[in-house]
Amino acid sequence: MVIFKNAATMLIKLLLLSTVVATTYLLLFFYSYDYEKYNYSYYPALLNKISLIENTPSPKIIFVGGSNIVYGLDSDLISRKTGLPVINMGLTAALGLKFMLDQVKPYLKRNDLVVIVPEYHHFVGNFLCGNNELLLASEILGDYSMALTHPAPEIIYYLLEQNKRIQGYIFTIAIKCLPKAIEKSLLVITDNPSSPLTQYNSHGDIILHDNEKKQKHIDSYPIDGKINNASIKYLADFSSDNKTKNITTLFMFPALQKKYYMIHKDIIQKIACAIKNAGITIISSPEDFLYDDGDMYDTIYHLDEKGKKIRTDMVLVKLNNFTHNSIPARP
Amino acid sequence: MTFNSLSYFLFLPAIYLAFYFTPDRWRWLLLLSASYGFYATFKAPYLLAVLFLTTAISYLCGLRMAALPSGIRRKLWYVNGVTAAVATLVLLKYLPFLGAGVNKIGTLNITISNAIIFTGVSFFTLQSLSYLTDVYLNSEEPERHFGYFALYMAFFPKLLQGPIERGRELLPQLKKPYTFDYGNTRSALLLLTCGLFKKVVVADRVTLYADVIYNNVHAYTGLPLIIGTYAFALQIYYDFASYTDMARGAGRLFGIDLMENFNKPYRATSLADFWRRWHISFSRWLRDYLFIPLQMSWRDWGQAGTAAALIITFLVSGIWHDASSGFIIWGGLHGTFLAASTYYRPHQKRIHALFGLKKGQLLTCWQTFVTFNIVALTWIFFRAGLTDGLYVLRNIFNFNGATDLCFILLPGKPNFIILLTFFTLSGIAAILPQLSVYVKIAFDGRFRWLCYYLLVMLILVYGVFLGSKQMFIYGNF
Repeated sequence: MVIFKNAATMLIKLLLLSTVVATTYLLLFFYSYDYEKYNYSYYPALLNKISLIENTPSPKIIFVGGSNIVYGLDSDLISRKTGLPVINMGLTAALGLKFMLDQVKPYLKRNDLVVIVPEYHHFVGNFLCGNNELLLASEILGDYSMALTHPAPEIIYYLLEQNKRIQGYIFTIAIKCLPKAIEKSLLVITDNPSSPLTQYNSHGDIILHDNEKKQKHIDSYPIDGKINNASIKYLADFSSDNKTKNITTLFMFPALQKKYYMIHKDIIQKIACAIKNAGITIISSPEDFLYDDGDMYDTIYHLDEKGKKIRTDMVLVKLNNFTHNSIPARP
Repeated sequence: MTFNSLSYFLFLPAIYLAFYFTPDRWRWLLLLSASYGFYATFKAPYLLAVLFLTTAISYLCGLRMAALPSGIRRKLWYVNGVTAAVATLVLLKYLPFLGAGVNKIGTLNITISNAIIFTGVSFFTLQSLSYLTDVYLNSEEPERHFGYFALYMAFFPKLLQGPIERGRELLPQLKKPYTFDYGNTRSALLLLTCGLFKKVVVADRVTLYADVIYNNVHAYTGLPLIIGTYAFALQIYYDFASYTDMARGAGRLFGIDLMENFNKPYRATSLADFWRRWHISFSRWLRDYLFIPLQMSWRDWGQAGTAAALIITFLVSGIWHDASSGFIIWGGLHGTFLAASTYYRPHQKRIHALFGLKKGQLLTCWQTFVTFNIVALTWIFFRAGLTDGLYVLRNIFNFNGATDLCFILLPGKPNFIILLTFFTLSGIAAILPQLSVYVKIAFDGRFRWLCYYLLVMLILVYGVFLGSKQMFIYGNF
């Protein structure tokens, strides 16, 4: 009996502790959460891009990829040279290739031209589906409309706005996402998770302003040595499915820091070979889009304005080659 | 399911509640089912089969050996049991490596998936080997109850990463009737929480620095490589020590005391001392079942025999981690250093006298510093493998290039502040041992609940939670 009483006492004390912890935690979160950050998340940018692809008449050119195309394409120039509306659907590689392809699929129409420019990382390891936060977001929301780099505020905001199934997931969200948000708020972080909506142009490209200095350090990411065949199959299926609907699907390699390429040449060549063997129409080689550090912005995939111009010219050349001179290259 | 996952923190209380309300005679069955259920969450059914087979073979061989007083048949059962356990480990763990080797040599195209996971296999195999040897040498009675034996092999808190327990130490505890003890449960929960703190607040934050450097070593020279190397040394310690704390906490919850695996290893004053403090259950296993038998059989060679036994033992230790060259070099280096120290030790006092070094705090600090740096140096191969490891060694003292330290802020300013605070406090605690006493008093005194509250809040606010991406390093072995 005494033992049972002791156990009950401990259980009650633990429950009390949990309640106090949970209350403090939630209070801290709602006190410290800066709703302004919402505008700096990927979510509003994503909604804008979806609205863009939905409302642009066909035929159109759609670039699908991660941040390498957000930071490395002049869609306006491509549009002027080709005479077709161009939409840059890129956001971040971390969304995963599956997400990128799935999100454009419902909006593709006959005679559209889809140019897929994923990052190399989508073809190795387990990056097909992005990372866990995205999966969590998809699970919670029933779709994939949430970005992931800084998910907690966006998810909470969205759920509060939409009055969705918050109760069932609040614990999961709290455990997985809130600590990061609180930590950031408490320690007053100034780094922006994404760019504000105003920084995207009407095609979906990010415009770097003059006052945004090139970053001193170029972020690099490890690349796993094992090719993810599921990614390549997913891409091949997407491509063949489009073919039946009279939608042209082309594959182009991403912009990449030359130094990084030299170090990881073997795996990149293996990736290129695997994509080629899958029967996907490739219109470039990895070497077409390699850049010196002087053309990079802040990561191995991000170009600065100068790099963007060089890359856009090359993209036009490659598109031109493919369409048998129907798209004139920039003089 | 890893110890730092949400599912584990739902699993553990659920099992504990069921355990609490189950009568003593059925508790083994509950824990055994929970352990197999826990292992099943890795979604590799062959792992369950391997665990069961290893258990069944060890159990049978143990019983057969006990039934035979001595002679060749008894030895045969022992050899059979050991061969089966080792063969299982080799097949599961080293087959991809061997396959790759065969492909390189010949024209055969053997495809063995590297995706085979063998979490826990290395640990329960060692346990099986120690049990068989102890029974064979009559230093342990064989367990006759298959359920208890299976639980000894599979007990979930120690299944994935140890501690590697001896039968005579764990089996009696599994059979002991359980009574709730407030103090014991409290200390179990504290151990669990401290372990979680070490993992999510410290280890997973230091990881960010080690990864920035070691995932792209060729981009760095000089100071960043030094920082990355130290970061990995801290990462592996806190990662593994946190797992052990959590394993011991979970074990204690069920009234079972698992052995301590770490004893401030980075305060060791020699490599031999380091191995008495680091991964103690594994070092003890190596000492008892490999080093001592080797040393005994080579005793005629004198010091050379001891040195050779040390080198072989540590090479096996490296291979046990993985068959890749980095681990073998790591083990080989430890073996070589230890072998060299057997020659150096008899002259140590004279050498100290020659340099005017007197026994005292200063000498201890110097020895600790040297030992830590030797250990950190060997970790380079453990983390980076042979090729990258050699690059690091060649460039770690190359300060010619511009040393850009902005990578320190890559994982974020708060990350840096949190770690700096933690390590500063740990440093102060190392210099002023009374600080640790005050902390202990705080956790036992009147304001203990306030301390618990702060500890949990620190974990929730400053912990890094990335779900399944945050495996424990030793979960890979």
